[in-house]
Amino acid sequence: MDELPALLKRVSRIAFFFLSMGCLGWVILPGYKPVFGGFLIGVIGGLAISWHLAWKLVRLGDAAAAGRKPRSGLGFLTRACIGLLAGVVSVRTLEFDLAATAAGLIVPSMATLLLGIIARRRLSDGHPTDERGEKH
Amino acid sequence: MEIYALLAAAIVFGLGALGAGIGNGLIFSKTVEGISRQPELRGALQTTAFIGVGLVEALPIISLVLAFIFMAS
Repeated sequence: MDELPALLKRVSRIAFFFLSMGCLGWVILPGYKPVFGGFLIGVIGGLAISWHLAWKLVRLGDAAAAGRKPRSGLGFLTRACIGLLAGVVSVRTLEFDLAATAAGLIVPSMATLLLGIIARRRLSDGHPTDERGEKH
Repeated sequence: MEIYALLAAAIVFGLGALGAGIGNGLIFSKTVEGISRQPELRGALQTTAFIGVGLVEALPIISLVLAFIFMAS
């Protein structure tokens, strides 16, 4: 029933894998330090965005299930500011690569998409037809 | 040149936020509606909404970063 924490855990695991790959690249290829540094900061920002989104979704689900009106919004501005902070710290403060930072920011999103597609495919493999015998 | 940079920043973030606003609104309205109708499906609906919103919001966040870099350049 509680699928969101499991999905978030898997997304975090993939993001940490990319973080470790970035650290390895930082050490092995010193000439590309701006690229790997920007990528690392982007992945950290993307991970923070994913955690914040999951927290907001759980709160929204609790409020909807209890029949209450949600008090706060969805927090897009907070997530946008996290992305902006990652970009500004990466490019202005540490002088890393902007494109690598943007690529790092979308790593958790892409991991979420891939895991979601895999989970849906497994679900449809387990239940190939519905109660009327139709294939999805 | 400065006015073009400001214009580019406004267009890139404005259009990105417009699309994300419409997409987020559709996703969350249907999620809340679904949870209210069937609270036992909350976990599955939250997971689906998480996947959808994660994808929808990736673009405007990147466009915001690009917009501020355009403005600063």
